[in-house]
Amino acid sequence: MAWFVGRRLVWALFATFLVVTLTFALLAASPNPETSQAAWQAAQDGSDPEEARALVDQQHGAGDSLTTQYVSYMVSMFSLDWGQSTTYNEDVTSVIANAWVYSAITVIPATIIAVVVGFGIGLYSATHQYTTADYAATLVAFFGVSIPNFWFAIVLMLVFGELLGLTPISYDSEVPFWSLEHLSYLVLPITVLATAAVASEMRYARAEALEYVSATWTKTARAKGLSETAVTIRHVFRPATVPLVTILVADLVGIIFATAYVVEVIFGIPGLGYVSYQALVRMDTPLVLATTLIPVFVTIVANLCQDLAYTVLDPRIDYEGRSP
Amino acid sequence: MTDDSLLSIRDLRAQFHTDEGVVRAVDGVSFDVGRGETVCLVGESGSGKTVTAESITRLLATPPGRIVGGEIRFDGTDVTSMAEDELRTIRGSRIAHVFQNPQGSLNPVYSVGAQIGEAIRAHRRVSRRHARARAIDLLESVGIPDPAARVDDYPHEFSTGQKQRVAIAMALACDPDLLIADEPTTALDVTVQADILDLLASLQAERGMSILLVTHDLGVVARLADRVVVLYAGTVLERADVVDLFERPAHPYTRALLECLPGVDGEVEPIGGTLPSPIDPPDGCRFAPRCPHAIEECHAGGRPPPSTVGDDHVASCLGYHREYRGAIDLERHPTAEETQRVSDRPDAGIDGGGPR
Amino acid sequence: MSHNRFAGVSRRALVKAAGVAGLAGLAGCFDADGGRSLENGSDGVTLDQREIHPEWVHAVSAEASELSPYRATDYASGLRTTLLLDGAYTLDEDDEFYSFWVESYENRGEESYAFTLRDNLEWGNDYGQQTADDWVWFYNHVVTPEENWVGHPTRDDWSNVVSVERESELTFVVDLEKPDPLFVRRPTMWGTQILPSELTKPYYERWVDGDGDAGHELNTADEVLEFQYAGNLGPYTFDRREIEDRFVVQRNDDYYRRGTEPDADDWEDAPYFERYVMRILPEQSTRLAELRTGGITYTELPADEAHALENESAVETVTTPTPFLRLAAYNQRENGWEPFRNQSVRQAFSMAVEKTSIVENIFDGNADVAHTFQPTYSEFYDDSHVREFGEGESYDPEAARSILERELPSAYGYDGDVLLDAEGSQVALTLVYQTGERVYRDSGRYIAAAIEDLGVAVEQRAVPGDVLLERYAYQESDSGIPTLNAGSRDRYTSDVEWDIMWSLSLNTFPRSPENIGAFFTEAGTANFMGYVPAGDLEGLLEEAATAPDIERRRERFGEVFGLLSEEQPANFMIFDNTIHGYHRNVVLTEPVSPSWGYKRHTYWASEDPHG
Ligand code: SF4
Repeated sequence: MAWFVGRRLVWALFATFLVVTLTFALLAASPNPETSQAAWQAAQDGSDPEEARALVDQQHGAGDSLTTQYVSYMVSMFSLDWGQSTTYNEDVTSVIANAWVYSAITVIPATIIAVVVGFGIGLYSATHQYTTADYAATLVAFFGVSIPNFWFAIVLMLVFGELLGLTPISYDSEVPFWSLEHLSYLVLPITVLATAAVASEMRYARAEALEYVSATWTKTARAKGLSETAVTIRHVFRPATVPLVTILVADLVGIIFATAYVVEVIFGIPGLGYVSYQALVRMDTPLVLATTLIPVFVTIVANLCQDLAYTVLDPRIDYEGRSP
Repeated sequence: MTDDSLLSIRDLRAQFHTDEGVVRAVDGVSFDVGRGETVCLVGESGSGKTVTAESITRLLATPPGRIVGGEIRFDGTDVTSMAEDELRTIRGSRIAHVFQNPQGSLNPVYSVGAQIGEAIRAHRRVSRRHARARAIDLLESVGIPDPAARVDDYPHEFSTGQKQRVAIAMALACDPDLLIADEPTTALDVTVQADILDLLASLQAERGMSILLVTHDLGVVARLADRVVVLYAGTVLERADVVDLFERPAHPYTRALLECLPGVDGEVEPIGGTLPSPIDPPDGCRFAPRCPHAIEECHAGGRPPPSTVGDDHVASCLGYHREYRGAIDLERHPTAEETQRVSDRPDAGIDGGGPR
Repeated sequence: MSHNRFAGVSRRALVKAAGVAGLAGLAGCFDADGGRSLENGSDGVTLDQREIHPEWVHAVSAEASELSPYRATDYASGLRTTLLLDGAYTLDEDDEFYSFWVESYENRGEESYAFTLRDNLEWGNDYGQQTADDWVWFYNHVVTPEENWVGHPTRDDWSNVVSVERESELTFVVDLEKPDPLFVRRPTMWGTQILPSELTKPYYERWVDGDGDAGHELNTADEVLEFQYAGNLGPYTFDRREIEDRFVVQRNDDYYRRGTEPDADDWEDAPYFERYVMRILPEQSTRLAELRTGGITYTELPADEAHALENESAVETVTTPTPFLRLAAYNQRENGWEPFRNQSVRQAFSMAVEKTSIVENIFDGNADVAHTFQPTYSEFYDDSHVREFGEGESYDPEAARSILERELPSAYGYDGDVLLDAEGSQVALTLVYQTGERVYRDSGRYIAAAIEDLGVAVEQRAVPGDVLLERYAYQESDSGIPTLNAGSRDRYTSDVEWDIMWSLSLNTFPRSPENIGAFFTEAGTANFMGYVPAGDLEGLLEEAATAPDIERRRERFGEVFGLLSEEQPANFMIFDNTIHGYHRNVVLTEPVSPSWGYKRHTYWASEDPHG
C-alpha cells in the first residue's frame, strides 16, 4: 500500500509540474489585454504608447527573459513561496487564503447535499422503480442536468430574492459567519451548485443501484429474511458505492468547480472560482499558476482517495498484490 | 395432497405488468410438498416455475410482478395474506432459498462468514462471534475444506461450485423446514453438478427437511425427486410420483419431454413449436398448438381439467377426459410432419429464469 | 425645470446651469434630460432633513488593479482613490475650476499659472501639512526623471510644462513652454493626486542608488495601499479592501473640505454617510436587482436597461452626456477596401446608415447622434460648419447608390441591386466589432444590414476588445512593436484584413480638442485607419492650438470639425451617455452635465436608504 501511495504521489508531483508548465507556456504565448488597452489609452491621449506598454509589462514582471521567468516561477511554485499577485499587489497565498473560505462554504455543503440527496433519491427511485416517486425523480434529474446554471441562478435570484423577497439577492461577506442570516445568503448559491450535482449523482446512483436491485444477492438477502432497509443499504447501496466512488470524484470536481465560477459571478461571492478566472483574464501569472495548482491538487488527491477507497470498498481490488 | 402437507399451493396466479401487456406467468397452479419430501417443479424456460417458487415467500419483484389469486399455506398458515413483517420471520428461518447463479447470489463486498452470519442474525439473537462459529460449522457441513480459515474470505476467492456450497450453507443457517432450490446446478460444471446434487440429497437425509427443486433437467429430477410437478405456460399439466412419471408419463407434453431426454433411448427428438403467448394465452389446452394429438376441442373452452390417471397421478389432458377418450389416441406415435414443428429442445434454451 | 429638491441646496449650481443652457450647443442635452432626471417623487425635501446616514453602497463590476495614486489612472482604480484623495481641483458643469486641494489659481500670462493650496491640508502618518514643496518635489522627481521609475502613466500630460517652482509655502508656479489659455482645464493638474514627498523620497533615493524595484515597492507599500498618508485630504478614510469583494472606507472626521467655499452649505457636514462601501458584483442582472430592491445606493446602468428602470419608483436615473464617441472606422490602409480612400465613397457609406435608428432602437434613446468628432455641447463645436450624414434627410441610401455608381472606378457597377467589382463578383466587405455588450452586436448587425442595402455583401466578425486592438488596429512597426500608426498606409497594415471597424469608443477631448490630431493627422499616433486628410487639418489644428485668444480657437476648431464631418474618415456614429442609477432617497446636488459627479460627496439621503 505504501508503495502504491508513494508511486501515486510521485506521479501527482509530475502531473502538477506538467500542468503548471503548460499554463505558464499558454500565458507567455498570449498577449496581455491590459497592455493593448494601456497602449490604446496612451495613443488616444497623445502620449507614448510604447512607454505605456513597457509600464504594464514591467508591472507584470515580464521584463526578464522567458527562461528566467519560468525558472523563477517554478522555484517559487515548488518552494510554496508563491510571490505577489500582480493585479492585487498582495501575497498570492493571502489572496487564496481569503478566497477559499467563500468557495468552501458553498462547495462543501453542495457536495454533501449532492452526495446525500443525490444518492438518497437515486437509491429510493431505484428501489421503487415504476412508481410515481421514481418518475418524479427522473424528471427532476432531467431538469437539473439540462438547465443552464447561469440562467437558473439568475431566475432563482430574481424570483426568491427580488420578487418574493425571501432571500438576499447577492452575497454579503459582512454577515456574521456563524449565523442563520449567513445561511439565508447561501441558500440560493448552494441550491444552484447542488442542483446540477444532485441531478447527476442521482442519475448515476439510480442506474448503479438498479443494477443491484435486480442482482441475485439482493434476492438472496431478502430470502434470508432481512428487512427492506437492510437489503437496500447493505446489499444495494453498499456494493453500488464502488462504481459510484469512481464517478463521484470526476463528476463532482467537474460540476462543482465549473458551476462555482458561475455562482460566484452571479451572487457576487469573492470565491476561488471567480478569483482564478479574474487572474486568468488579467494575466496575473503568479496567481494563475497558484490557482491552477488547486484544482490539479484537489483532483489528484481526490483520485488517490478514490483509489484507496476502492480497496476498502471492494475486496476484489488489492493494490498490494496486483498493479492498479 | 395430504392435510398435513408442509406446503400446499392452490390455484396460484401471478402476473407481471410489462409494456406489452399483462403477462400471466402463473395461471392457476396447485400442488403440495409433504414433510421431508423432495418435489420437483419441471418446465421449460417461461413456464412459470421460478415465479411459482418465488411467490411462496413473495420474493418476486413487485412491481412489476403481483400475486393476484390463489392460496399458499405453509405449515397450515396462509402466507398470501401475511403482512410483510410476519412473512420475513419465515423467510430464511423456515423457508430458505438457493438460487441458480452462485456467482451472483453472494454479495461480492462481504466475506462469506459475514453473509452467513447475517442470515443467522436475521432470526436469532446471537453474538457476532457465535454467528461466526456457526458459519464455520455450516461451511464444514456443506463440504468446504478448512472452513475456519475460509470463513473470512470473500466470494471471489471461491470457485463457482464452492460458492454454491456457501449459498447452501447460508440457506441452512436457521435449519429451515423447506428449502427451495431454483436450478441449483444449472450454472455449474457438469462434474460439480453431481456433487451439489449429492450434497442436497445427503443434507435432506440428515436434516429431514423438505425440498422444492425447480429444474428443467429431467436428469436432476430422476436423481432427487420424490414427486414431480410438470409446468407448462403457467399451468400444471401433470403431477406424479417420480417413478410413475418416468415409467408411465400420461400427458403428451411429458411424454415428449421424456422422449427427447438424451440417454433415455439414445435419440433426441425435440418437441416442435414454442411456448404460447403468456400475455394472451390460447383458449383450451395451452399445449394444443404443439400437441401431435390435438383435436378441435383442445383449442376451445377452458383448460382441460385434471384427470386422475393413477395413484396420486393427475394429468390435464382431454385424452383422459371421459367425453373425448375416443377421439384422442394418445398411444398413436406422432407422424413426422407433426414432429416437424420443431424448434427447441426442452433442455436447451431453458435458463431456469422466468419472465423478468 | 422644477427642482424642489434642490431649493436651498445649491442655488448657485442652479443659476449656473441655467446660464450654461444659453450657450451654443448645450440646449440639446441639458433641458430635455436634465430636468427629468432630477425630478423625483419625494418632493419637498429640505436641508433640515439632511443628516448623516450609516451607509452608501456603490456596486461596481470589477476590482481595481492599482491603489497607488501614481498608478491609479484607470477608471476602476480612480473610483476608489478619489474616495480618499480629492486631488488638486476638478471642473464643474461649466468646465470651470472647482476647488479641492488647490484653493485658487492665478493666470500670470498665458505661459504661467500659480496655484495656491488651502492651508488646512494634512497628510496622515505624521507627514505634516501638504505644501507647495510636495508639488515641486513631485514634478522634479516623479514627472521629469528620464526613466519613469514609479510607472506614472500620465507623465506626458506634463509635456508642455517647463518648471514647477515654489513661490511661498502654499503657492507654486507652473511655467509652460507654449502659451495655453486652457491649461487649467487640462488633466495635467486637475484630478492629479500626489503622495507626500517625505513618503516618496526614500524610495527615490534607493532608485537613484540603482535599485530598479524601488518604484514598484513604493506603489505596493502597505502605507500606500492602505492610504495611511491620506490624512484629511479626502472625504473618507481607508478601512479595508477585500479582494474581488469590496472596498470599504469610513467617513473622514477631519475632512478639510467640510464647510468651506465654494458651496459651503453643500459641504457643511460632507460626506453624509458614515461609510462608503464599494461592492463588486460582476453580473449586471445582480446589480440591477439590488438597485431595484434598494439593496444598493448607486450603480451605473447599461444604456438598454435604463428605460426599464426609469419606471421603477425605487430608482432614480440620471443620464449624462460623455465625450466618448463610438465610430465606424473605414480602413484606408493597404489591407482595406481601396475605394475607401475616396472621400465621396466614405460619404456614401455614411449616408446609408440611419444613426437615429441606432440611438432609438438599439441604445434605447440613451446615446446621442454624432456628426463630427466633437460633442454638440463642446464650446468648440460649430453647427454651421458641420455636414450631416445618416440623420433625417441626410439618411439616403438611394443617393448613396448613385454616388457609388458615379464615384467607384468604372470597372465597378450595379447589376440590379448588386454592386459588382472589376471581376464581376459582388463587393464583399468585412465589418468587425467587439464582443462584450449586447448593444455592440445589435448595432453591428444593423450597420451590416444597412450596408448590404447598398448591394454589398458584409461579413460580420465579433471579437473580444483586446483582439480587436491587437489584430485589427495595431500594425507592427519597423522595430517589431505593435503601434497604432506604424507609418505609411501603403506599407503598414494590421495582421488581419478588415474594411469597417465598429464599436470602438474614442475620447473627443472637448476640453482640449487639439489632442484629436492623434487620430486624424497623417502621422497621428492613433491614426490606425490610415486616414490622410484632404484638407489642411494639421495646419488648422496648429493654428487652433496656438491661437492667442479663445475666440480664434473656437473658430479654428469649428473649421476642424467641419472638415472632419465633410471628409468622413469614419462614420461618426454616436456619443455614449452614462446612465447613473440612484436609490430614490438620494438627494442630488448638482445639475446634469458631462462633469456629473464632481460634487458627489455632497449628495445626501432624505431617509436612510438601507435602514
Ligand atoms: S388436451 Fe388436447 S392438445 Fe392438450 S395435451 Fe391433451 S390432446 Fe394434446
